[in-house]
Amino acid sequence: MGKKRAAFLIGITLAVFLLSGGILPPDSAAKAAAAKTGTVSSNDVYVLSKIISGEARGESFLGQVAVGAVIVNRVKNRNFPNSVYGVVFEPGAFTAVSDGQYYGNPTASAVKAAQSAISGWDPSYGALYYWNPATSTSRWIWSRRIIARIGKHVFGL
Amino acid sequence: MEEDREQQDRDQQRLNSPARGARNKYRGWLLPGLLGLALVAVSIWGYGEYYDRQKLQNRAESQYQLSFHELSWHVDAISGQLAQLLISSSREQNVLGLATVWRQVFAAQADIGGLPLAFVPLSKTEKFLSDSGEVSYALLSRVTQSSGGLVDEEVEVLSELYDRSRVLKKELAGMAAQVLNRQLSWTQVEVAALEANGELEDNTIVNGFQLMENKMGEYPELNLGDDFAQVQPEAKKVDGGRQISPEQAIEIARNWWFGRGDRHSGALVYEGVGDVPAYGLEFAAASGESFPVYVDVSKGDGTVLWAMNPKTVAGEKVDLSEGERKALAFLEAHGFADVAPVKVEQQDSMGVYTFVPRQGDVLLYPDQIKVRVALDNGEITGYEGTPFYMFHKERSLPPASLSEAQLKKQINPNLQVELIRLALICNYWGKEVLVWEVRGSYKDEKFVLFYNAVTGSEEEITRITPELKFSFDVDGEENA
Repeated sequence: MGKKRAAFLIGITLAVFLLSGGILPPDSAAKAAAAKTGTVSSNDVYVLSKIISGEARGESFLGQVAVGAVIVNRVKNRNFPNSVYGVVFEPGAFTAVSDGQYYGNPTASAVKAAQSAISGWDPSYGALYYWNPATSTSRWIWSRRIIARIGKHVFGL
Repeated sequence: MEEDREQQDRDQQRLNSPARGARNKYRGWLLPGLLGLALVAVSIWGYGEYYDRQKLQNRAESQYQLSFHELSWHVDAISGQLAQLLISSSREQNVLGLATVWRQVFAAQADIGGLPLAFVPLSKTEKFLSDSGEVSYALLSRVTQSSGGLVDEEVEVLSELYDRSRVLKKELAGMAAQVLNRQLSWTQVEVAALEANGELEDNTIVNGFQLMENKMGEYPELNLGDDFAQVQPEAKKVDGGRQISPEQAIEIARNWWFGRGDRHSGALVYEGVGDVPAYGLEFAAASGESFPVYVDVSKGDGTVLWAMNPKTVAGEKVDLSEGERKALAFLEAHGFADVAPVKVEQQDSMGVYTFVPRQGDVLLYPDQIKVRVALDNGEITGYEGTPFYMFHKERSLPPASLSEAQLKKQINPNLQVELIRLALICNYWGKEVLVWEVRGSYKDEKFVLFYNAVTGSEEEITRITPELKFSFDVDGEENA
């Protein structure tokens, strides 16, 4: 009986660890199935809306369009990759990609912002960079020429 | 009595459990034992996690190593090829050499894009690569259009590029050797850079790139003439002396978007201080509306640059051609008398229409205007007139010396021609040229071809095949 009990305890311990291992990573698949409320029909718009969701959640609609416009402006610029994927997945370019926030479903607001940005609406007037002055301590980024401030973000060339 | 007690105890023991004695003996070990087991389990699990993480990191590391060594290799190839162009006197070799430089530049740019260097300013290195790409492309198109080889000035530009490539090549090769010799890790650079928030000091790889930038900086910036560099199209000069106030801007925007006598309350939310100084205005949603409207007005002369209404569009009751009529009516009501639709795009339940103004029979492509129409009720939900504001003016157009009949003989018979008209476009080099616009298709693909209406050469071919549509999921929250 002592043996049985020990085996039972080991089983429980292992089960707890296995379960916690399975639970810890965010289960986005289940979330996706539960929250489907709309659809987007273009790859580029979808990728753009995901990065906007990750980078500018909590910003105003205008702030979200501006973040999307920066990515669109980079695609058009010679010194950056020439596709939306290329710009978004440049290593280290966006924190939302580095920390995995990118991989969630985009919000409805981000999708609208992405649609506007890809169609050419640009509240940043051609900005290639944006940063949050409250959290960014990189000295280099402040050497950029600032052309607009929208919400928490500063936009520059 | 003593005996009775003993007897009772023994009975009790027998009654309760035969193993009770043994259990008492091991009870002290139960908790440590469990903890020990837990420790073993955690260790096994932890090692598993560590092992998986290490595997992933190795995979990322090998990608970075590949990009870095490829970068070094491609820059070396560019340098060698530039030198080869300088010593060759054959036109065929020149064409092949220029094409090789162009291709290697593209590869080197992709290599840089694959490295975690977001925190390292590489503007001079990137400038060298884009200059090399531009020069090789320009010379390639020049040499293939003429019968001769490279001329003196062109050789001079190539030798300037070669000097810069030598620095780059040497620095990169030195760094590559250090990375190999000291087994430096790119993933560690990436992690350290993220932790230091971009302020990495005393890191061999980052220092190496910074040193390379500094050495490139010792060369004067290569100023490519109009023949090489893409120049920005010249924007209309805005009267900088006069500036309207935010209150005036709100008044202008309200009248323009909502109509005279409207009561929407507007507020200044931001100011654009770039090439087009602008007031960014927000008009709060009035009763019965769920979304604010954003309107931008130029500071200089109070022109409405763009407007956006992010309303939710549910269902489609208006088709694309009715949407186009609504868009056109909107433009006419706002003073755009003579515009032609050049592009129609459906974006989910919205129609996005691009119009260009006409000068005589010529379509002015640089001065485009976009109007967005919600296909549920035909409401206008967006206007984008920044290019029109920046570039629109009366052009002095040359006569088309190539006639339409001559053009038709020139068109490749594989192209199913749908439409031919005159247009003004901004070509690859940023210059405005008068062209014949030919729209047509080949199997699945749709194209616009632009033939120079004066020289007859094919200026540009643009693919306009609509992208494939798929369906993706969206989160419902945050419906703003």
